[in-house]
Amino acid sequence: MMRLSILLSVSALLAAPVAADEAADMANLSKRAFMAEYEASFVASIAVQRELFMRFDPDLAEDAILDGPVSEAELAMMECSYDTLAASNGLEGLARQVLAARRMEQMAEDNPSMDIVDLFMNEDMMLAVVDDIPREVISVMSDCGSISASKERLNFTPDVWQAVGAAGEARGYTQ
Amino acid sequence: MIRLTPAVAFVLALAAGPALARDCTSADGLLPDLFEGWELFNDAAPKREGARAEATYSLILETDTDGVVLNPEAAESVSIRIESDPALVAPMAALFQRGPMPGMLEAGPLGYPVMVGQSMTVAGDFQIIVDGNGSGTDVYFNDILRCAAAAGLEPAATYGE
Repeated sequence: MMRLSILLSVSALLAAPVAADEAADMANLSKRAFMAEYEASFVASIAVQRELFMRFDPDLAEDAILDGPVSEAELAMMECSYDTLAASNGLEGLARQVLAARRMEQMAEDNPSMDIVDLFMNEDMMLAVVDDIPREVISVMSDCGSISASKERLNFTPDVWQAVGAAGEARGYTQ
Repeated sequence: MIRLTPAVAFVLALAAGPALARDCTSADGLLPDLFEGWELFNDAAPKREGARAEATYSLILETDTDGVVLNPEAAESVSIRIESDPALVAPMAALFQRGPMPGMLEAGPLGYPVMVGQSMTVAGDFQIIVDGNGSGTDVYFNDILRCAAAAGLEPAATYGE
């Protein structure tokens, strides 16, 4: 019964896939306009993840995600990703990444009980956020320094992961 | 997908260097011995209890020629936890297998993915966590993973975003 209610709740949360034309429209923006959208979505995604962490455990959230302005390294990573994908005609994929952050924000807003455990460990929910982001985009972002930038922004210690993992197990997400 | 086939295990074992004397198929055996220059923190013996092995080592920095400790305040320390309790390891293995979100896993030593910025992985039935404040973290983490690879303990994760 509990499992059924969880699944129903998740189903209700799944956002509609990004409309292809929405991503295409964004890809046609000027670089300046695109970068403004990209930076805004980045800031929003940090805020949402902090909020989702707060819902799970305020004590853990305090240090897990740095709440500060976009760093030089993060800006450089974004611009490098833009330039690289623009050169390979892959901006629509990057637009999907930008729109995924908005989708995550909407999901969190629509469901006040959603927390970081749901985002990280509920496969359906995670896929609803990231599934339409092309692997090429993730790869380019990684090459452009997304992982090293993450290390400055995120402080997910083993204790944090342990707590998230245990909660996910309790909710049946690892079955 | 990283699969530790016998051939890969053989290559990793070669990369691991000389055969390790300890039994790397248990939490106890994975726990490394002290390296030269390191001391057990507070003279405590490593704990080897049931499904869990744990050690906290500290490095007292070199002394000068008169035997005076140069900077005890800056001593480096490393804490090691190896868990084999399935209730703890299974959720972490699931996290590694799915990948929590893009960009939260990165390549670690010897083909074992790690959580970004952490010396934390799952090898076989073990969760390995090494935490510290200096280069000793990598030294001990790599040693444990050499041991794990030599024993054929598979990475739990898929790496590659």
